[in-house]
Amino acid sequence: MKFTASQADLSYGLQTVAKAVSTKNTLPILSGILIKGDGNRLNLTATDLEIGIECMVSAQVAEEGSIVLPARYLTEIVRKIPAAAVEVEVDPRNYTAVLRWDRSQYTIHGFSPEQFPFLPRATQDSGNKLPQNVLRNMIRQTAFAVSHDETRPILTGAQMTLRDGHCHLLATDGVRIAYRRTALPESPQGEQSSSLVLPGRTLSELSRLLAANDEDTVGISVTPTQAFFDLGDVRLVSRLLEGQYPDVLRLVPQSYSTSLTLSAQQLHDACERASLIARDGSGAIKLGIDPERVTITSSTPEVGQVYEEVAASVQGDPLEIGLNPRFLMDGLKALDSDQLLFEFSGNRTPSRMKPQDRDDFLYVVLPIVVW
Amino acid sequence: MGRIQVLDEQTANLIAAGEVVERPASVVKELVENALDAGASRVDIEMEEGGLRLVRVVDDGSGMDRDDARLCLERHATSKIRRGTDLFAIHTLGFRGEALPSIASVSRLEILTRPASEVAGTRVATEGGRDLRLEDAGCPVGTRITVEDLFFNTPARLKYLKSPGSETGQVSDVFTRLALSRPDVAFQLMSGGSVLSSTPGNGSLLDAVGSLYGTKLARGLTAVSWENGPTRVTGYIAKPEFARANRTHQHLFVNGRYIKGSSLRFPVEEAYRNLLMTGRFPVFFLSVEVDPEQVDVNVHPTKLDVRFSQEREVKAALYRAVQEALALTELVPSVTWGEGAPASGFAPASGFAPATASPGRPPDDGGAGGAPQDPGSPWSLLAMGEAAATYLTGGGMAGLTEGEAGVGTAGAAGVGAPGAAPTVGEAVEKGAVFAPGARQGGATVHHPELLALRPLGQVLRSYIVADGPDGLYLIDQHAAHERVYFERFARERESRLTQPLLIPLELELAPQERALFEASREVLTGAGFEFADLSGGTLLVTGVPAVVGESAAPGFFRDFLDRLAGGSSDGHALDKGLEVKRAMAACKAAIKAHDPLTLAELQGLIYQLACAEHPYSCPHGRPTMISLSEGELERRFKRTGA
Ligand SMILES: Nc1ncnc2c1ncn2[C@@H]1O[C@H](COP(=O)(O)OP(=O)(O)O)[C@@H](O)[C@H]1O
Ligand SMILES: [Mg+2]
Repeated sequence: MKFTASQADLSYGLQTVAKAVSTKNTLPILSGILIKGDGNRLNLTATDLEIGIECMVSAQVAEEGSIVLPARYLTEIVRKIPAAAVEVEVDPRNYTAVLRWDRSQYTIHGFSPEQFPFLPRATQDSGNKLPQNVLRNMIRQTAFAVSHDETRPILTGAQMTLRDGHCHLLATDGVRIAYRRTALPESPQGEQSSSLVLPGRTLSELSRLLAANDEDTVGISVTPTQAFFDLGDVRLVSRLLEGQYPDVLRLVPQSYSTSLTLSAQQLHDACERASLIARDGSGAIKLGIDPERVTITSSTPEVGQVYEEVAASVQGDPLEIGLNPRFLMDGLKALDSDQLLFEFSGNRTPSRMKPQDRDDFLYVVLPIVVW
Repeated sequence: MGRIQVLDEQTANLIAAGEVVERPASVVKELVENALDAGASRVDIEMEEGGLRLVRVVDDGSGMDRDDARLCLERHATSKIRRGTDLFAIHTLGFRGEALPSIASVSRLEILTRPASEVAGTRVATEGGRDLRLEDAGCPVGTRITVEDLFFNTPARLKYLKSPGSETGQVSDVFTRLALSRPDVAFQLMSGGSVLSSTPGNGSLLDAVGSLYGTKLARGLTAVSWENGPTRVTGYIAKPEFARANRTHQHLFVNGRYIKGSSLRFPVEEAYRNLLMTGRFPVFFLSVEVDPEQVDVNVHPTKLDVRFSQEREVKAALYRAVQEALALTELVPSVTWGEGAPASGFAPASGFAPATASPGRPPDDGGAGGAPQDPGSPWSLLAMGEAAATYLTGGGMAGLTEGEAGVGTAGAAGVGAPGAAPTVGEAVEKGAVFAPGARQGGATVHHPELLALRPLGQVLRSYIVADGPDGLYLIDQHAAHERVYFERFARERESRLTQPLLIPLELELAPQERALFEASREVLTGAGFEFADLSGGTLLVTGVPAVVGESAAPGFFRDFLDRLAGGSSDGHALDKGLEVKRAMAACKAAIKAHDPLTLAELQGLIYQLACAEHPYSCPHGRPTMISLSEGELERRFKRTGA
């Protein structure tokens, strides 16, 4: 194989796929990136068998062929090449690549491309499509709530459900739930519902790849064990987490005896201030709700006390409830709306927050019981 | 004809010998215990070839008359218990009347003995327990028992013995334990004609430790003296810096009896937790006295383990005694530069190793409250008062000119300005409540001696350099701050928070774990756990203490149950788990190495450290500070005429 590519394109492509390179050292071939050249483009692939990322970049391919080159060296070198273009020539007999630019020449030893695992492809296009920035926001609004507890592996992923022309994304770590829903603009005919659990890492890699605009779309297809995200010149394949995802929304109370309407920003900032003082301990704050006022209090014996009043309109029973300010702030940041509806049904049961004017986002959090 | 026969005496003795007499060391143990039971004030032990050729124990105790000298070789002949019920209240070391006949059955044994009341002594000799010969013999008051050619008639048992060298080692171990158990008795161990070790027998445990282990360790010991009702804990514990990689230097005596491998060592180790790195074990010499009615020693013929009817209380006593003693010790390892490594400077590995601690109260055997006996050690509390006063009121603070203003600001951040204190001496007298700034929430200064440290600056943005009464001090800022946070978190345990769980944690428990869990359920709920009822082998956890957090809870639980299974009491097992969490949180919260700090912040950190209960090590057991004494500095700069 022999090709010439622009340094910028090649570097972009390598860095895009490098995130999928295996960090475990069990299979040496997985520490490499598969480079395949045909026609006028290069196909770059990396995988750790959990996630695979594929990226197409344009190049002048003089001789078709392929090779696997160690990601660590290749990515770093290409990134630092000072020239506009780089020529790569591969010796297929000993799997060695020579990189040339200006008067420099680097030789890198690689692996046989035959050993590289075959990356599965979607068998058919399901037709589920979303603007890239929409999926990106959905991930931002939910993925923070996935569990990091390896003893309950299923909760380390987020549940994605494609049903009734909607895409639902939900994550929980057993203490809070973040849920977001959006309509699929191009809902295919005769669509079947599917539900899958995406590993937390897939979500963060995916969100890194997704563009911040709504012109580019991302296609989602699913098989029983894999999910495919097609971003145009980049494709991501992810293994799914196996197992039954708990139906946590069922555990959320349906009726609330106390409800608040207030500014999400103000509550967030107040929590942030209070947590400066509460931070040293386990960080609980107390929310005091009565028709006259809503207060935030906290005390850390060594540091001092917090007292804040927040403007809010209160409906229902007075209540005192302990909350983790960090969890509150996470939810408030994900809300994407300033007017917040915050509902409670006692100080031992889950409380719920959502934008006052929308139903597409929900954040449920359990209190902290002070005794 | 029936096939059951009553074993003849000789056979019974051989069987018992299998249990009691394993090797020369066990012979030494039995003979010395007999000597001690006989009220000896001096015991000399001699051996040849690791005791295989010969073991001889000479005492100046009560001796035996002719009848007793003959009787003592009969099985279950003992002068120490008369009735079965006596077994429940044992004051002497031997009581089974098994040792002498057992030893006699596997060796050539000679007894030479005389009580003070008789003019003539008795000589008894046997070979393999047979052919008892009894005759008059002249000898001093006391008893000399010689055991030759051990196992000469049971070659199979000889095979299990190690080389004479290793048997000598085992005898030495036994000797050390016995000698430590009775500082009032002079012991001497000889092998092949030369003295291996000895103790003065002047009643001082410290002197006994010193003669067995060397003065360096003895000077690093802290006295323990604790009492509650009939339970007394006395002895010495070594500072954390003397910790070892195994438990061979842990000595525990219950009612004067050496106890080996007992779970009683756990409470002691737990008192040291966070002062030691993992894998390091404290060195201690502790004696517990309890009501003899509470102890059951008749568990094993070699009597190395005991049972208590009040095991929990005894463990709690040990824990508290050691913890209190540790809290009273200052634990700065002082350092000397080894001669061989002048240039390699401050690396602990190369010559900057903790040496004999000049800080710390000089261990005084009488426990007279730490009066400074060694005028060269200004680190003792009383001497400290003066030195500190000089630093605080005299010119010491003048160097802190820009600090004056800075300290004021620091006060707002919970840091007191030491300059505002009367003197440390006064503070100590007033119960050490040190409230310099109006905003200071009445934190107690536990270690006023630390207030005498005057920070000079930071090196490598990681270590605080301070001038202090004993010379130069270096404080690891991260370790110090970790300690401060750790203790704060520990106090905040009082504010009890539980995080209920949306989805209960399911934990599979094995049957024995289930029993452990049920027994400790209350302790767990007391710490903030909530459970749904145990169904089958699955435990549903519906709430966890906020300090533990949800994701760490399953691991926390496993560790807790493992500790219980390993013999820890549930309270300690729980505390230990919680402390691991706190140590992690403290590490995260603490300032890091390479964080630049102002002089006022340095001063503040020292103040906070003085308020800590265990300021001298971080929660992981690493030292927070080291010192370089004036003497060491003088020596280094060749100012002394050495
Ligand atoms: N060194 C000694 N001095 C005085 N009496 C001894 C000595 N050694 C043994 N005896 C006597 O011999 C008895 C038997 O000893 P032993 O077989 O060790 O049994 P025990 O020590 O369990 O009573 C003791 O009870 C004691 O009366
Ligand atoms: Mg005996």
